[in-house]
Amino acid sequence: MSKFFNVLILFSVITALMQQKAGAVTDAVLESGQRAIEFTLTMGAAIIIYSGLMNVANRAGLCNLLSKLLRPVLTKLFGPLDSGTMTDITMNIACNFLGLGNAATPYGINAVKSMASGDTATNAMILFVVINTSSIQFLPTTLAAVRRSAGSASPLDILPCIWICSILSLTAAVLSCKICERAEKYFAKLRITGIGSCDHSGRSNKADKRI
Amino acid sequence: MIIAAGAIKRINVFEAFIEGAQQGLGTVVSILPTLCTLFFLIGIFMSSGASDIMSFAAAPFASLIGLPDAVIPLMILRPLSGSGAMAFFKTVVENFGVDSFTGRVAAVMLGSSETTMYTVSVYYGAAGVKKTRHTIPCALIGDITAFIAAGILVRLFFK
Repeated sequence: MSKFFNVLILFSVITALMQQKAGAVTDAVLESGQRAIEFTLTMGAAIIIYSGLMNVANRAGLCNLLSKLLRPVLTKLFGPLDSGTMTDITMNIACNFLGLGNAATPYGINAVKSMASGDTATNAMILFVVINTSSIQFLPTTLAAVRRSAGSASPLDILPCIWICSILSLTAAVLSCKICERAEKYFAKLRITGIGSCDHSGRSNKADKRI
Repeated sequence: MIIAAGAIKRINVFEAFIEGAQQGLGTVVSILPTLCTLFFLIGIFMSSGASDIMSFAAAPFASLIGLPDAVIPLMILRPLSGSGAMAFFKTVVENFGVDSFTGRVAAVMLGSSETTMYTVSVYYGAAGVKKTRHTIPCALIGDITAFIAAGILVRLFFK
């Protein structure tokens, strides 16, 4: 993440200087803080309300019911997890699927928090975040509304395309995650047993430090 | 519905709600610094013209896989900013028509991807994770897959 950050900033500053847009960049920097605060206020209000509701649902045992249904699939993907985390993951995925993004966020944050150990992301955490970043929405309501207002003949005719696309992207993301896990494990093993040549261990170190 | 379920189970709905809201407030405060940083990054990236250069560089690759030129900036905007991507989608629709090939590809791209950088920042920011390992490459692989598939699928479905 920090490397990504550095590269983007550096690239942007260089292009800004080359195109003499330094003034515009300064304005954008000042504005960005304000926009972040505004965004947090609108989104934060929703998070607080949904967190309240969610706590009621939790106490009533509604979430436990749903997570029991999805447990077999999730255990296969994430490995063994405690039931609280499992419930949060289930509810996050369910809310995302139904298009309740604001309701999904607090569940997701809880799940990631409970999976966290130290400042390094675990495999389960990465998998969970990656699943969240590839949209798994059943009915993209905002998109449909925009298309309708733009005068589309049938705003929902692209739904099958979106579903297939979503499934493909989700599969690609999860697969690449699993491949990365395997690769890392493989290189770690090489390093420990000392079978790997210098070239191998050098490469695995690089892989560890990336992003 | 949730409140009703709570009432039926005879739990203290009012207290549970406040307790949850309290935790929610903590969450919001804990992700604020990360969000500020992200908005700062996006602000610099967009205003410096770096995003324009990147879309210019990506154009040959996009035409190779059959994506129209007009949706390329969307591919770069989408992982960074949801509102930015939506605004760009509206201009695409105005210029090309909502039921045109370009308009449909843009819609499918928008519907099947997510604001990746924002999601990653919010979750990891809240959990205090700094070393994200392979999260971002994998997430971007997912997005790129969605973008490529969008072009191909729209071509297949709407001839």
